Amino acid sequence: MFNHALWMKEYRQAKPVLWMLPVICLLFMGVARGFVIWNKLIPYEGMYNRDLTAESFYSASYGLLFMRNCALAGLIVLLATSFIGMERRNLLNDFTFSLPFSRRRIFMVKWGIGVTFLAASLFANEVVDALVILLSPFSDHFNVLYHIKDFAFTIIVLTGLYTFALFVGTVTGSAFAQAILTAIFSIFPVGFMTILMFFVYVNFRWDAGHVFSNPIFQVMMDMSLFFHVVGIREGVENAGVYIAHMWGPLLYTALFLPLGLYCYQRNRLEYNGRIILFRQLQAVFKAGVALCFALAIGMFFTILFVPDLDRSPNALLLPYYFGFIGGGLVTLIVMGRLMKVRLKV
Amino acid sequence: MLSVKQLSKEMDGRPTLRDISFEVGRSSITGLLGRNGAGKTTLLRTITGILDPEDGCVEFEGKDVHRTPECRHNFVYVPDSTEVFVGYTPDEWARFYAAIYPNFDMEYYKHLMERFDLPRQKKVKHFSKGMKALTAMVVAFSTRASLILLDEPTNGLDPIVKKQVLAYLVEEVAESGTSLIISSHHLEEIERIADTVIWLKEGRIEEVTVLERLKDTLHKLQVVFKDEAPSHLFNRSNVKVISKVGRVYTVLIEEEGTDTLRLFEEEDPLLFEAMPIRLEDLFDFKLGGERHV
Repeated sequence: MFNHALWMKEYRQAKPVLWMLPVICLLFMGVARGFVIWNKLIPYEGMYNRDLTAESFYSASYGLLFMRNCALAGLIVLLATSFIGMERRNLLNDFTFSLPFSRRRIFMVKWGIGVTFLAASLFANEVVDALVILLSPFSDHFNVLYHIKDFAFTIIVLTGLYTFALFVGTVTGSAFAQAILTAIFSIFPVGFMTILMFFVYVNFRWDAGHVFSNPIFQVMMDMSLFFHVVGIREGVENAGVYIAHMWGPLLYTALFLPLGLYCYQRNRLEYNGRIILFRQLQAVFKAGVALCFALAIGMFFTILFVPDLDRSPNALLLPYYFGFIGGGLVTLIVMGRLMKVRLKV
Repeated sequence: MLSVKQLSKEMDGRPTLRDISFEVGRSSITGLLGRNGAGKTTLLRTITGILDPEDGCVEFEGKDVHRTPECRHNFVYVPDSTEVFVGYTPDEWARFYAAIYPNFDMEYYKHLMERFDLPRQKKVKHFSKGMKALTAMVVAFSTRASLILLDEPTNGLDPIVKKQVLAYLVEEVAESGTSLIISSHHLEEIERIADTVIWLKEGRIEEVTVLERLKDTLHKLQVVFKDEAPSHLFNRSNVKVISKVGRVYTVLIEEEGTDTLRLFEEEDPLLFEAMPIRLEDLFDFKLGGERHV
């Protein structure tokens, strides 16, 4: 996988974004941790004249952990678009594909350099974070396990997201489409299940109960990367429980790395700029988007016009299908035009 | 060395290249000519492996370029824009190529940069168009690759730099044995340096011309007849009138022998003068003669 020339090329191509990874880590969990300790926790102890427990010490910075992970998730998607989507808008893509390297190797270097920078940034971050704690008056609260869990969970979730974003880049023709579709599909399983359950309720009056207590819903949550990104902090808190849900991001890496390789090898540069690069997928994508919008607009219209959803089924069906058919048709027309457009970004 | 075999390519469902076949040997310069949209750049991009063909294949020294990309270590594509390297200095560009192409000759690169008086430490984005094009060629030739594909290499260059570049290309081929495939809009440039010209029309090869043999197969005449011009001669499929000024006809005749020439002579014209053949004449004859290539 290592090829000096390719690493040089990819590094140069995404250098600013790559170096933002350690900077973001350091800002949130090094500098900000020190700020919280010296400007918040120490005055707090002095003011209330009581010692913080180890648990409260760590939970005081969960907000930082959450913000760091959200920022890293955004950066890692930006990195994936720098490697694939942005490459499509200029002659860089021609140059990359003219090099004497297989597309498989090029893709693996793109993946490898991102994961290496992410892992190195997180590792350095944990070391700096640990040093800040050890040099503070709270050094006796230092818990190495917390840092190991944070590193492990974050790297697994963000590698899953990065692999998925790269895969989306291999089937889309522009950076814009890659970023937007990555974001949408990161929440898609839960979103789709919600609109599907509403469809079942309206048509068959079958209530699946409270969504959060539904086991299928939990599976969908595990499959939605968005919830992993925002939920790592809870994972670090309850590692024993969270470990059972890690299959989602692990599956994303295991599934989308080979799939990304497969699609990248078959990329047709003549379709660069199109939303979807593969002609075979264009019809499926158009139909899929129209179906989702039909279901969502149907649900929106029903909720808008029938405040009491427990009313008779017929009262729900009319606004539902008005929104479903109208929304679906409008989406089909719009998508028909959008699919022909060549995006410049 | 390079074999293009029955290559076909579609763009947006429209055939752009149709059944293209030709071969390029060692130490040769092959010119690709055709009007805008004829498929010149698409052909170069497909040969290089940037685009995948629908049918056919490109073999370099017996290996399929698309299936074994490693064989591209020995050939370099120079596009008509250096946009990719604007953030590099020529030295960084050279170091990068040295990491890719195993035969990269750093000493030769330095020598050429000095010869063309090109700065090595200045960012390429600050170069003039001519300097950018020259740097791209210097770096490409320093790879010591056996085949270099140049897309419109003299586009936008002033006449002095253009002359310099063309002389340099011929010198490289003569000295190092490199082969070139050059797509160009400029007939006179290709005529000056190429051995073989491939004429593309609507994605097909219209004609492959070996320039040395051109004078044996195409004849250009100026004729003036005493009376009305004999239409049976001008209606022949191998005869084309390219201009008529008063009673003076300039005619192109395509044939291996001299049968048609003799027919013209038999009409006992007042003026019957053979003129030197230019590539432009062949272009007139084959592709309809529009100047906008």
